[in-house]
Amino acid sequence: MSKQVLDIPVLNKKLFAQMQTLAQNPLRDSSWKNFLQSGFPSVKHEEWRFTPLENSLKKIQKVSSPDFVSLSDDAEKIIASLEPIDAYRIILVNGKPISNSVKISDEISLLSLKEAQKNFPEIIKEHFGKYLTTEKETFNALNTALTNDGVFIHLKKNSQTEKPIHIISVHDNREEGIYSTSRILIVAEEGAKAHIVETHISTAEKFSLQNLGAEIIVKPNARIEYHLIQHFSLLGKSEASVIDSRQVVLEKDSFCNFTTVSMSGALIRNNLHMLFNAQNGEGHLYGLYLPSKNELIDNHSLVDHAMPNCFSNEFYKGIMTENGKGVFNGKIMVRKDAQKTNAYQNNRNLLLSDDAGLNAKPQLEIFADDVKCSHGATSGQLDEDAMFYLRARGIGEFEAKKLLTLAFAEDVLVQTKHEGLHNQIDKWIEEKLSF
Amino acid sequence: MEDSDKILDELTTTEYKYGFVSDIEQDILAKGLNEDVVRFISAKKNEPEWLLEWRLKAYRHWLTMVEPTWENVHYPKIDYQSYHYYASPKVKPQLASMDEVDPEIRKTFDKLGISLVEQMRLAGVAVDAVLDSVSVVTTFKDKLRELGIIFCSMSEAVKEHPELVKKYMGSVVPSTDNYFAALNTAVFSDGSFVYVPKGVRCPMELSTYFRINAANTGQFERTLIVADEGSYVSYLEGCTAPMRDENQLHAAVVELVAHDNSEIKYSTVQNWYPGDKDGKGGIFNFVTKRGICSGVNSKISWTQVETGSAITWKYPSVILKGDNSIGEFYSVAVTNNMQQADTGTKMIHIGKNTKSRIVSKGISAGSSQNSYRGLVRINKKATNAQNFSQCDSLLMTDHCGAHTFPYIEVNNTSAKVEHEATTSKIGEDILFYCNQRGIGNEEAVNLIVNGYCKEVFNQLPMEFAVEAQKLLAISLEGSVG
Amino acid sequence: MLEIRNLKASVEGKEILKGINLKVNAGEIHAIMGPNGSGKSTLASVLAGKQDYTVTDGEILFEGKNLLDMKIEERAHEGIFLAFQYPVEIPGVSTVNFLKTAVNETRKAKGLAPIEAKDFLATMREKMKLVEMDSKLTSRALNEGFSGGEKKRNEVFQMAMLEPKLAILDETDSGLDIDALRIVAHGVNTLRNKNNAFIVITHYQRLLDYIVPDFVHVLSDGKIVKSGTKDLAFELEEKGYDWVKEETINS
Repeated sequence: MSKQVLDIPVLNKKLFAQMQTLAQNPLRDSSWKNFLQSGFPSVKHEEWRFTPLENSLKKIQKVSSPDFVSLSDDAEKIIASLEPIDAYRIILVNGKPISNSVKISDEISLLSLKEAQKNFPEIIKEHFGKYLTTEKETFNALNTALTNDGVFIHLKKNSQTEKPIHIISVHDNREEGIYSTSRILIVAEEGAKAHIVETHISTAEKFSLQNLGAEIIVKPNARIEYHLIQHFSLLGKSEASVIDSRQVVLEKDSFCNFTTVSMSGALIRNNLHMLFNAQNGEGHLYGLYLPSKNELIDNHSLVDHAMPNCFSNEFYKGIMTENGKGVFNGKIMVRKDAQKTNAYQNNRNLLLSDDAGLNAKPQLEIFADDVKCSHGATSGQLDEDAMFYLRARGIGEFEAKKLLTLAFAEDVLVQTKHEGLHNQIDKWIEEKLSF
Repeated sequence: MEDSDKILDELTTTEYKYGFVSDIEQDILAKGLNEDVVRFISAKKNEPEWLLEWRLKAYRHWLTMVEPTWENVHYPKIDYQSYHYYASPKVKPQLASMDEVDPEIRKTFDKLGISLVEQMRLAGVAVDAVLDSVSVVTTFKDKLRELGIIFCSMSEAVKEHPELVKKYMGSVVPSTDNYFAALNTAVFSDGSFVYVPKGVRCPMELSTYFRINAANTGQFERTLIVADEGSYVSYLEGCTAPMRDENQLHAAVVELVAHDNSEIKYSTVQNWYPGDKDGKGGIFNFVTKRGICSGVNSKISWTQVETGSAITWKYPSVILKGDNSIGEFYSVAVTNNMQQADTGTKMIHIGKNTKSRIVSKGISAGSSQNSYRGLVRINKKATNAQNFSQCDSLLMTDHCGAHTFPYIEVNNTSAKVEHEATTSKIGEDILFYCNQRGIGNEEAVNLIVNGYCKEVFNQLPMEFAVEAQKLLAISLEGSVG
Repeated sequence: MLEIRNLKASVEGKEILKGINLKVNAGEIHAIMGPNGSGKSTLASVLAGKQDYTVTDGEILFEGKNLLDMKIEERAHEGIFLAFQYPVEIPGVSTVNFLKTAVNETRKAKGLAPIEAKDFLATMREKMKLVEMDSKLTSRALNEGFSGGEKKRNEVFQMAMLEPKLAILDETDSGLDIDALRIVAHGVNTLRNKNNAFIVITHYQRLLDYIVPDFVHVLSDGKIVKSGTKDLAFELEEKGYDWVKEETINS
């Protein structure tokens, strides 16, 4: 394990002692202990080789207030424009919901985690902190130790949402160096179906860091469509950063499609883990990342086939511009008993500038023999033949590049399965790609 | 699949064919490693002062280093003091012809199936045989000398061509490069040296047969091949070791230097003793192989067929410095029983229009673990670099493992990098089809595996390809699970 | 030559063959027809010894020997050949190499020495003509990138090389255009003699215009429900399989 690269004065024992946390002992204490033991990883840590944290961590000055913070006008303005317009919305500011609950139906609950602790104590007790490991995972440990609120979604057996649930997470970075904790727990009971969209935005240009932890439990026959969108520079360059760790647990015959679109952010690190905990699960992981000027977007994923007869498909695409850095590190793990596993992984990258960089490490670790697994990774530029063809048809170079880049992104964006959202992201990509 | 289980049982107990011990009088240095041992080796070989200094510097640096642990292999801690660092046949004659070679040594080579006389006569292969540490005889030297090609033992090269050795040795793998390379630099005993002068195309395959004979000897050979402008050379390395209970240590260094418009082809067939089926004994193979395409339009191609060793840690690499240079890596790695292999390559693109190609075929059987680990790095200045990698794994049982860890680092927009990998087992439908045509499981597996490895075998010279196929058959007989 | 008695077989616990009786003599061609899912391909697979199927009852005698006791390759050595409906692809293994191995393994089982390379090549050339196979195909990896027609021709070519006593053609006509069909049929008709026999499994009567059967059997729901001469095939073509089904129910 790595050495602690630095101490962050504000993340101290006193803060931990004062915090009214969701985690109860022994989880509370063990998480804090694990955090202290692991410390923050340096680039010598294999999993953080290309994502230096030191400069970011140094800028942390203050832990976000647990009290209610009002939405800034800018935030209101952005939120009003966000797709999907027609959705059950819950808004968070620095990880804390601004309302305790959003009415959906008797069968589907959308609450703050604090409220859920009162209304669903057994479910919280059963699932909270069960899947995000805190051992040797410093950010998970710190998150679990300090979480005092967040989002809770519960879907009863065979329930179904009529329209998407939209979590809008506002990173209020009007003050420099805010550190915040955010936590999400979603439990879809047997046969339930849901479409969840989660959008992260920031309100100003200053540095902030959010540590987000999410646990998503998909019970037998349940289906989850999940779309995570990270776009911090909607109002202009923003230094907002996030370390986002998620654990999806798939039970028997369940399904999850998790799509991550990382539009902008000074530092975005996504750790998406999908665990096949029973037979016949089906999981899809799609990703699109567009690091541009001074941005680093790092997608780490682990697809863990612990049980037989499951199917997984992972497909990530990166578009690197200016001096943007992209990192893709995907691991498919097929454990000893996971026979008849079909697991696929594909990572494609476009480097559109000489200063851009890409580090990819697609990995297969296979301990069962009756499996079909493959992975592929490519890095290249826009196809010259295609460029030539378009220009020969009278399309200008700029327009041709734009067209082909959007086409490149399309494979992932079709997964949003929502026209408004799809169009909005298309528009954002066009805005972002200033060739 | 009961039948195949039976075949598996029968065949995993197949004895290591090359596990005999030669009865040759040997000069062995007492176990242990310290500065005196380094001095002893250097003195024994009448080395010049600069070489001793270089060794000592490496040794002192080695003392400050830690053994790497990042690779995906597990083995008991090595006690470096429990090895002999020098062993040579006692009679060390100056040989003018084959007839003067110690009959016991001749017999050893005969058992290995590389009768020198036969090879000289039939295959036109020049063989530099390394028995443990000292090069015993070098054939065909005269014929090569006419062309200005130097092919001799490293000790001889130090004496006869000190300027070349001094210029190139350590230029690709610095003495402090890694733990095992540093150890090798300190105690290397012998190895081969090849220099092909400008514009010369070496007319025959050059070959070295390595074999570890003495008990508890670490073999630390060092090979250096330099291809001057516009030259070509193909080099073959074969390795065997006798069967012993203890783990023997092998930490070699191979350096290749390709100047403008030259080409080096380096082929290895490695079947060091893999240990018995419970994982007892076997060679620890920690090898640093690296080539540099220093000149424009140069090419280095590594081909390896690895069926042996208890532990393999090996990444033959190419630094593509010259513009338009090409690096290739073709590999078949077979692991069975308790073997562990962590092997692959590094392709470092520095020059413009550089190309690399990686074809890796891993086959895991028994309870073995087989990992591919590779790095493709495109540096910022390497415009129009291209890489294609194909890494496939074949699993023969449900208790072995196949792992793929490719690292791709791209820092230039014009680069084109493609990596593909698959993992699967031999399909039941294919086995059924073969059976239906009258081909039994064992023969079918052979056929399928050879087909699977064909792209790599195609890179080997004919005789080597045949040997590689046989080795593969021996290593895998009936291991379909 | 072949005698199947009350053969019952199931896959994953589901019974597919529900008591098949069939006798094939040397020199005969038998056609087995039937709707999809009637058990035609299962019968072919069970004869060849595919392990996915469990024989629950009955016996199969081939030249007096119990076939069910034999391994897949032993059956092949005895002279049973299955032309696959979906021939597999084997990357890196050329058709030539594959066939040489097959021929020599069969010879080895009979205590014969491996075939001389030049004899093998001569035979190959002769048999390739039979199915109008391009010699380029034989040096390519087995079936890899072959068209549907090429794969089927390759099956008949292998049959010609291995000279089986009993050849089972499993829907060899599926996916073939009329020219390929004619070539395949020509191959079979040339190979036909008084010492060997064929079982031709097909869904359509079309193939039987080219390979004329001595007997036609209709398989339905795992049983042979009707047997007759080649006229039965025409009747089927005209009236469809429902006719047989109804007739079976009525009887």
